[in-house]
Parts: sequence; structure tokens; C-alpha cells
Amino acid sequence: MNDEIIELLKDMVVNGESIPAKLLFYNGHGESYITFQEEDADESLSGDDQLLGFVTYYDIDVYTRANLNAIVDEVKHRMVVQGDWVWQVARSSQMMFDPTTGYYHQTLSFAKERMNLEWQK
Amino acid sequence: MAHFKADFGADTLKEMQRVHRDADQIFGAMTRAGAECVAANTKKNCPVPGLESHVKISRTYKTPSDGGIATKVYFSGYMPFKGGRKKFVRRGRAGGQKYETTEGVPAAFVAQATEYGTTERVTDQGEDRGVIQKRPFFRKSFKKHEIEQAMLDAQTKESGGIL
Repeated sequence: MNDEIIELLKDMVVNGESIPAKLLFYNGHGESYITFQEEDADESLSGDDQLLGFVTYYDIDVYTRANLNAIVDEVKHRMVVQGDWVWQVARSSQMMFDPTTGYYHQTLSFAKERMNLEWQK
Repeated sequence: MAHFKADFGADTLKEMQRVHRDADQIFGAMTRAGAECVAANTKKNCPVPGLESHVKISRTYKTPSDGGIATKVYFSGYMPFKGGRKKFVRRGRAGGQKYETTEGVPAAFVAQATEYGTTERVTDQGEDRGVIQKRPFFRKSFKKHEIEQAMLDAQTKESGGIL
């Protein structure tokens, strides 16, 4: 699942700026960046005492000193249109601003139903 | 022509009238039961020591715009400063306002920083206080099936078993 998100968010360029996307943590110096991580998983389908399917929720955190909305729109487009993820409005955050670093930050939550568990293969 | 006639007892009709009359109260009790479920989960999942005592449940209210009935779960009050400090001062940037407080750190601010994380924090004195790594706990506390069950139980109880 992490590989899928890396694939979806790779080579992102917004307003001429390249936006790197990393799992959990990005060690940068002032540029725009994206981090992502699994946030939650909800059991949705069980049978024969086994979990058959579940919904997984991923947080995509966008950090920028430039135009936050443009990057957010690009992330939504890639995740929803290209990746078939569902944007979770209620799980996403409002726009945030850190005055000490000048970074705008927004957490976007996306969900996807998973039926084939990797560890069952 | 075949027809069907059913008679309700007077007691049943009275009960149905009561449910109709007390609908707001029943819906209110349902939202409160759901909120209590979320508040209990939030306190259980809370990763910051002391923050759980700031989880509160609002009164049940009706929104005037759409007539909806709601009960909210929220964070209230202030947490003590770290390191025994008594005061926080942030000098204003050029054209900005100076901000100082002796109240402590708002619990809602701590909750948000924990839920969504922060960027690098540096104090006015130049002290680097690092990044708060996000640890989502609030959104995880909204378990749909648990909330629905709590609300349905409250509905049955408040309606006297009619609903």
C-alpha cells in the first residue's frame, strides 16, 4: 500500500516546484514536501472467523510555504482520480499555519477498501 | 372485497403519542449516548498524559438553522507549561502583536498537535523544540458500529421499547 502511494505521488510538480513525498518523515530545509502514513483500519467484512475485507485510512500531510491549495488539489486529483481512493472529508484537517516556521500544513485523509491481504498470499 | 381491520389498544396509541411528543428528547438522548461512547474511546486512546481529563461532552442542543439535534465532544481548559514554567511570551513580528499568557497550553492545541503533528518548533529565544510526531487518536475514537449501537440502545430505552 505504501508503494502504491509512492507511485501515485511521485514526480509531482506544482507551479514549477518539485514536491517530494516520503513515508512518515521528511528531513528538508524550507521546501514544500508531503509525508504519508497509515492512520487507521476499520473491519468491514468477516467470514469463517476470518477478516475478509477492511477499509484502510491513510493520512497525506502537505507542508508548504507556497500555495497550499494548489498542492492539495493535485494530491486529491492523483489519489481520487488516478488511484481510486476516497477522500474522507471529516477525517481531514483544516488548514493550519505554524508562525515559527512559516509553513502551511493540511492533513488529507483517504480511504480504500482492501480485500486481498498481502499476508494471506 | 377482502379487507383487513386492526385495532390498537388505547395504551399503545398513548405510547405512540408520547414518542411523537418527546421526539426531540429521544433524539437528544441518542446523540448524547453516541457522544459518551466517543468520549470514552478518546480518553482510552489519548497518548498525552493528562490530556484525557480535558475531554468534555457539551450539552445537547438544537441548531436553529436546520433543526438538527447535536451533542459535541471537545477539549476544554489549559494544560500546565512544561518544565515548571509559569509564563509564555511570543514577541510580535514586525507589525504583529505580542502575545503572552500565564494560563498554560490550551488542551485543544495539544490535541491538534498530537492528532496532526507539527513542523519544527523554535521559541523566540532560539531554542529548538523539535517536531511533534503525529499520533492520531481522536479520529480513531469514532467507531461507527459502536456509536450506532449506543444510539440504538438509547432509542429503545427512551421510547419505552416502541422504536
